[in-house]
Amino acid sequence: MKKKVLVAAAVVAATALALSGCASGSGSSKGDPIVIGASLPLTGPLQAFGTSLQQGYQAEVDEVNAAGGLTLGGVTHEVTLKIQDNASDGTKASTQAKSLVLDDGAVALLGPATPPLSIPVSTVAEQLKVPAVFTITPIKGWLTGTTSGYKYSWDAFFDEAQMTNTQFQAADLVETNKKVVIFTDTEEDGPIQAALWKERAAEHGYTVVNHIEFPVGNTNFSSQVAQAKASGADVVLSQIIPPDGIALLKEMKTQGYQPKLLFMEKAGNTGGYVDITGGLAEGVLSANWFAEGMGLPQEADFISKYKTFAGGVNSNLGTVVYGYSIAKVLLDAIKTADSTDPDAINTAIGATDASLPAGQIKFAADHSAALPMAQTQWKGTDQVLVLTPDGQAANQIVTPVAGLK
Amino acid sequence: MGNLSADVIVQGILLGGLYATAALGLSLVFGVMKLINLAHGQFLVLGAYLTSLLVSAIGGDPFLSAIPVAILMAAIAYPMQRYIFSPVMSSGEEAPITATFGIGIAIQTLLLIFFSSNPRSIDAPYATSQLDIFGVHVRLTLLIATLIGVATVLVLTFVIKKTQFGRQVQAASFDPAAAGLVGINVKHTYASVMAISAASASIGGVLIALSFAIAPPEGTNWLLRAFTVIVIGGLGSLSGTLYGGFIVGLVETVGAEFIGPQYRDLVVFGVLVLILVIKPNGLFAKRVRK
Amino acid sequence: MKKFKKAVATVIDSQTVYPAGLAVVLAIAAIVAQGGMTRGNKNQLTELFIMMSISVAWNLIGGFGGQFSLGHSIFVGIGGYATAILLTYFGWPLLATMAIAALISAALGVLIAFPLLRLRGPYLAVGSLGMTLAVYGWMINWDFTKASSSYQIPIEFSLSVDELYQYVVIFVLIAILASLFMVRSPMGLRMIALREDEAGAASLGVHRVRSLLPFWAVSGLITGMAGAFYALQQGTLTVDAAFNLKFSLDAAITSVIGGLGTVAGPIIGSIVVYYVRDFAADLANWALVIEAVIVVLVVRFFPRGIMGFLYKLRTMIEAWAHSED
Repeated sequence: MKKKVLVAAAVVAATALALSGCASGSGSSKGDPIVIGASLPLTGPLQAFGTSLQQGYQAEVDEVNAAGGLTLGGVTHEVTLKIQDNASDGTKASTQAKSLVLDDGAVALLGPATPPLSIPVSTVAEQLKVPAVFTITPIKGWLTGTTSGYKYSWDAFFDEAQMTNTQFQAADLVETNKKVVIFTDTEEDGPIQAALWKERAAEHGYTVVNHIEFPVGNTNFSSQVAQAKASGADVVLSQIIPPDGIALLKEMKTQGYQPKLLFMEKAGNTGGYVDITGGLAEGVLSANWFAEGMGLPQEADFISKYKTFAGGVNSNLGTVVYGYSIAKVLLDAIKTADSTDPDAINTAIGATDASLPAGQIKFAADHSAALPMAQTQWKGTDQVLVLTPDGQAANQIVTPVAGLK
Repeated sequence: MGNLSADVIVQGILLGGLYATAALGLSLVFGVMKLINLAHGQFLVLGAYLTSLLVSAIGGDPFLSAIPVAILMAAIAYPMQRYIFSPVMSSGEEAPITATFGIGIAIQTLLLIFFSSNPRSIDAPYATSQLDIFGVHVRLTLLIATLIGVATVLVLTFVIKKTQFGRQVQAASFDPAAAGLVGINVKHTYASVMAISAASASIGGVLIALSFAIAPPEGTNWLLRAFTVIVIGGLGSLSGTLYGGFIVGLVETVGAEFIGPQYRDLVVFGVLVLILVIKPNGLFAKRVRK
Repeated sequence: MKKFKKAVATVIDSQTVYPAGLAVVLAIAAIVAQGGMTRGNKNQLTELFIMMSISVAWNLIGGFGGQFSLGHSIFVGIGGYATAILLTYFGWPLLATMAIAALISAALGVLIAFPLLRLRGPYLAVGSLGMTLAVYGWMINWDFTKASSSYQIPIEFSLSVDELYQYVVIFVLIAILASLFMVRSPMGLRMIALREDEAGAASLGVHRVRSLLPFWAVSGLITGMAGAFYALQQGTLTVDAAFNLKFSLDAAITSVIGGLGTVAGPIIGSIVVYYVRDFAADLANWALVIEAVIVVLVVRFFPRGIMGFLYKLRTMIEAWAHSED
């Protein structure tokens, strides 16, 4: 009995000693590569966002390296982008973010997408006091992840308040019975958007006849759709992740519920959604941060470069653009700070006021930068602009939802 | 919110038919070998995924693809029972739990590696159709599932009562030692029963994927639902599985209607825990062997 | 006095005091060696020790007690969320809050044990699984725990990587010592007797529920505390993460691989599993498949896991050394 435990103890001791001997030397030498870390959802329900962000981040890093890298204090450094796949899981994102900083020596982090992933990474950034820049994360949802305000984390994306106007503005362009049904899940953005929609509806002259809530990952929508159908609403507003969205669409088709307008936020922002849903998503609307005709800097450039990768002019393309933009914000900040000191970089990020492919980025006191939002509608492989950021009509909205016929 | 319409009741019963079909394999294995196969949920998911793959490859009706996949599943399950589960069944209570559980995790993780955690559904022209029978809305896939379930129970009952193989199964189940003595290959019999169970689970998985969607992490949910079904219906009774299924389907649907659809799972699992706490051996404690 | 003497006798028994002493020495070494470790190392060890403590706690019931419960995820979640919620609403000192969270978890352990102890074998496994998923189904819809949204640990209570590491080392040491002493005590012997031969034990007056309850309480306590540490390490909690079946799974896998029903089993098992996963970091899921397969092989061929294998090895070498040429 004693010997058995001794053997075990020997293993533990050996391991502990081996580990303590493994301390790596600290301090950067001249010319060492600068490591930027990112934990991305390259697989799982959010993989469309992850792979697109990766494209965008890498594009900016490659551009900087091609121009000779980052020169700080007279020394030139190559920039290395280290990416890990968190499989759309928040716990993994947190673990990987920590590892990227503590084990891989990342001086700053670039974020994943959506609050469930971005909040854990923001928390790590705050804990380890390392700057991190995020996008594809609605601002109010992101801000729920802190009780005293972010010090090292920054987010450039849309603000839900401004975004929740676009659905009603778009709906105004079409003849409806002004009745609205709202479907939202219970992750950060669901309650926020539902509350804003309910608040805004009256202003715009609409009535919310039903608000249906469900947990993320729900696959059985039979009761919910039956309720929605019974209320006879012409307009459906939803905040739902892509796989849940497929189940919802399927159920609506089964029960023969074909609303005039169906807005699917988040799910509708998945590249190739019409394809993924077997055609059911044709005609679905979603707020978008990038579309042809929006008038953003370098719009045509990015469209031609990334249209094939994104499979069309859709949210994936927009995500590439946004990824590129925040990577540029970060690398420009490092250049301005002229050092890899976290606090110096952090201050430089805060001072950003630049025109980027995503739009004008300038951070407010709460570390957020709101960017323009439009409404688009799915037509095959593209998301076509139907409402511009300043509320004007663009292309004609097709109604009712074609895919649910 | 919610009302007890004919729609809700019919939907509940048919959903129950789907659950019963999914649970049949678990019931069969328990009835014959007293083994609770913790990997059963993963058999459902695996069958659905393999079928979905085949359908993407060769197209055509999912049920056409479901048959070769069911045979494949049977072929996989046979050696699993024979060389892994059977030998550990005599090593006490923990071993079979850990073994079936381990296999379940292995299957689930393999599916995650190859398919990621996105739910997958199988498409067919009739997958989204609803029939209107006397003013009641009937989901076609659920109706098919119920019919398949009933048919399978009838076929299996016939096989067990009237065929030679069935008699061997009864003997091996009742008294393995004695059965071995009279020349019945108990190992082969048990393995064959597991093979049938896996094939049935595979079909069940296809039906689930047709009606809704299925994802690797949900294997555990389905295991629990199947277990609830057989605990209510009577452990070891095939026809009891049908009744158990209907009851679970009804309770879940009515519960969802009145408490809220997001509580579906909670209702079912809450009922399971309650039953286990009150009557650890199942609602109908007498073992009716059919 | 007699009971106290008995307790001291248990402690001083060489079979217990040597391993205990060793554990203490290693813990001291782990803290002293801090200077030579990077923050990355300490962060990793923190994760390892949290997993190890849950494993040790589970093994009390699952290994020694022979009750394969899949419900430990509940304790982790409760410990974590109780800590987060108490800190948010009351802001009491950190350690006090964590202790309270652990006690809540222990109380829950006892509550759950009552119904679960009526079940045997696979029914217990499925019943505990059902309970876990039922609790999950409730939590994911509960506003109080913010449903699918994340719950913060207020940043002012956040510990640095170094501080957290030290606390966790001490914690896992306490967990191991508690496990060691409980198992070697008369209470533990009664529980093992129950596992081996329930009817026989009952005839000797060993009452099943009364003998097992203390272990459920302690197991719940330790796991709840581990959950609190987990919450601190993560900084934010989601129902999906904190009540994840993964905790029950890991506890079972590491204990089985290391050796069910041995004190060193969960320790060895956690180390092996953790570093295999770290080694195959990009192939994280493949590591899990391999672990699951190893679990099945262990159950089939090496019922007592690594510890059992080492023990057999030792017996074989002993026999050879004592044999005639």
